[in-house]
Amino acid sequence: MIPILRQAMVEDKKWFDDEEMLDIITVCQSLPGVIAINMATFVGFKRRKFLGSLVATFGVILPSFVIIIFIAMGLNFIKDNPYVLGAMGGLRAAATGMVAYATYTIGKVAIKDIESANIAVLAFILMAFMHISIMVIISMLIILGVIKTYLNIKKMGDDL
Amino acid sequence: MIYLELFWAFFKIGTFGFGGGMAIIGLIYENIQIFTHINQYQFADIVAISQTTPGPVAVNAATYIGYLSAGIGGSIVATLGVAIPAFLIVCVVAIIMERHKKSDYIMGVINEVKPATVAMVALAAITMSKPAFLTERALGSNIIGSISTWASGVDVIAIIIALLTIIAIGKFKISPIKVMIVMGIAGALLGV
Repeated sequence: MIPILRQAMVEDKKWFDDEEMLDIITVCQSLPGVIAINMATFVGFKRRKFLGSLVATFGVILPSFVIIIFIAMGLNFIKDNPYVLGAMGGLRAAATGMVAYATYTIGKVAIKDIESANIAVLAFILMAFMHISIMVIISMLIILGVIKTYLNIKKMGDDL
Repeated sequence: MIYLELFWAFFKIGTFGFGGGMAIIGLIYENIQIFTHINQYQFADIVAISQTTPGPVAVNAATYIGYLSAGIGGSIVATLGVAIPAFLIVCVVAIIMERHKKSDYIMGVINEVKPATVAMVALAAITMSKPAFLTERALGSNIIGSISTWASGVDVIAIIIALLTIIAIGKFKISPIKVMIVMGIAGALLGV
């Protein structure tokens, strides 16, 4: 997805240069939501404010929406076919492999030191074994992030 | 009121969905427990299809789950639900970044949440493992008989497919959609 977005915006439309693009991608990847929607909203906003973000977001959602509806409707009719069952089995297995691989790729980027490793492990234990809601954990980390940033800013102000 | 339940469930998902599509999958599973007609097995199917079709996994999954729960109206409501929070948050961030270039608070929050997204994705992988690898009718069972199953219920070929997928994407950098399609065809040919 990212190479396609970069190609379209940096090379085809020439809206941003590579450095701006990198900033946009970094932020959009890190905020909640899907990067495609975030990019559409962000770029749409930069180009034409609120209306732009609305139109861009709508545009990026519509095609896959339509496709999924058709597939969902179609699958309903053929779901007991043994070939379909076999295909689903293959897809499930492949999809699980992809998600497992994603754990590795995201882990490489997100875990850079002991502290982040601790957060990851602790979050996993809380979610998987104690069944604490992901949303609760994220909320706590958001609050922690705000507090840490505040303390950092204060510290830098004190040092000056 | 199913439409409200759908919207709210996916609104929460859209708000806390840090870490991209794969992490959001885990969050989706947590939030759709109230839609009892979607169990772990169906969830794995939904994720599998959502990954094969164009578009982001999370949006596709929202559309699909919405459709299964309440038809086209449900799919619209669920898709809007998952898109709106991200839309609002990004608009706010875009405005902030226009004035402050790089907000320390935004980056601070992002950096704190990032490691947890790894846990979210790991959890999603585990959630999908059971439906993917433990089946009553293993892939290829009518061709190669009982060796397609190991230790009562483990689908050997499914595990092989998963490993091949990882190698294809990780080592050979083949496009994920191509891999999915190939594995789907392989599964169809092997049958159950």
